[in-house]
Amino acid sequence: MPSSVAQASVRVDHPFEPMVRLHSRRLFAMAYAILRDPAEADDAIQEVMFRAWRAWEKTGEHADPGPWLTRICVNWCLSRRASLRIGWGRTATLDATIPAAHAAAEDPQLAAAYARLTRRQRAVVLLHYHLGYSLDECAELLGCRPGTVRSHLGRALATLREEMRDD
Amino acid sequence: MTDGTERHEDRIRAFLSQCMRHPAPLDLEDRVIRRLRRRPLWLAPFITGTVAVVAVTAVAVVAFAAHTPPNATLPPRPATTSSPASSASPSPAETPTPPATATPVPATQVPAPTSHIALSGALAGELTDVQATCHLHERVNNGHNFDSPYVQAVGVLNGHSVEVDIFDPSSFGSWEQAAHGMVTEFKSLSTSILSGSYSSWIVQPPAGISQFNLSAGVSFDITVQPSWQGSFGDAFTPKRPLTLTGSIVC
Repeated sequence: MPSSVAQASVRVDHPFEPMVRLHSRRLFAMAYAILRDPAEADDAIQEVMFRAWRAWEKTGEHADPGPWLTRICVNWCLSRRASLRIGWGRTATLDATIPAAHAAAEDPQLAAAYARLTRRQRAVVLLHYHLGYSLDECAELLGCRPGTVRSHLGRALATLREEMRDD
Repeated sequence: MTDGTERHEDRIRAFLSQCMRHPAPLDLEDRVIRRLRRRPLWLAPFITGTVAVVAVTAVAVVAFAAHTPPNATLPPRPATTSSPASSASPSPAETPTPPATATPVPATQVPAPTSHIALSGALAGELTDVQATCHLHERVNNGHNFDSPYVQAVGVLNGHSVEVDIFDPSSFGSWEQAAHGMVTEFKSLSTSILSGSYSSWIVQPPAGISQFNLSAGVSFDITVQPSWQGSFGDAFTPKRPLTLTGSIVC
């Protein structure tokens, strides 16, 4: 057992902590794009990192944890039920550290249409159009058939194009 | 692919880029790490299930009620306004407060108050190399948004790092356990979440916590009960409560 107080200043961080600092904001943006609620996205990151932390202990360090975390994040956002509220009646002020006025910068027409998509449709659109996943890769990541992904994407595009029809 | 379709897809990509630039909370990473440290690993398989969470919460409430500390009715420790004048002073917990009629000492000659934490019971001794951090918040935006301020001190005892978190007595306390005092002993000199096994003690009622100031610190004289164990490495379960006396000064 170490006993030297002189070693007190040596505090070594585990690789998981830098990983949290490296990926949290990217995952937050992804969760926000799917959930469209900054508070829910914030909660999602807490849970995603907790799941990752548990898995990390079993699987050890990943060479490239980015895709692995992406998978956990997307699936958590899709499995999370909107009605899940683990509160005990507490009330407090909302975290004010989230800068406001971002929504105004988004394409308002498209934002309205995007908000009408299901979470799974948003996830497919995000993975395919923004992150560049192929439909097969999306299917693998989401744990469904490629045909299902095509169906989600087709319906999502139909909804979005309704708003862009007048362009 | 038609020009119109390409234009639509470009617009969708531009919109998604805007979405992905949504700013995250400034303290996102810090809160993630702090909450990971606090989460009992034995609860992990249950935490993400709605029904299980409700069930576990109910069990925890019953368990904590059964473990209500015998000192729950202890009066708050009198405010400590002074600190040891030198390292040769006795235990800080026993340092008398100067009488109100004492001759004022010029501010330039009064050493800055420092954090001091004495433990007895399951852990015994005084923490060394104490580093205090104020202005901390446990925030959860999970439906019932909640914010519990707390201050933290990390020190060394017998070669192990010991983390002490004291929550604002007027707040709910910690998110998972509604605890107002938490002590975690890491079986190493690191307080990293995966640095090794750790053991924790918590106190649920805020009795014994006085002069909490999110900017300046807190004084306390509390008995904290054994809580969970970490599952990394040679985890062990704390069996006995420990008494925590002293102050955190930022």
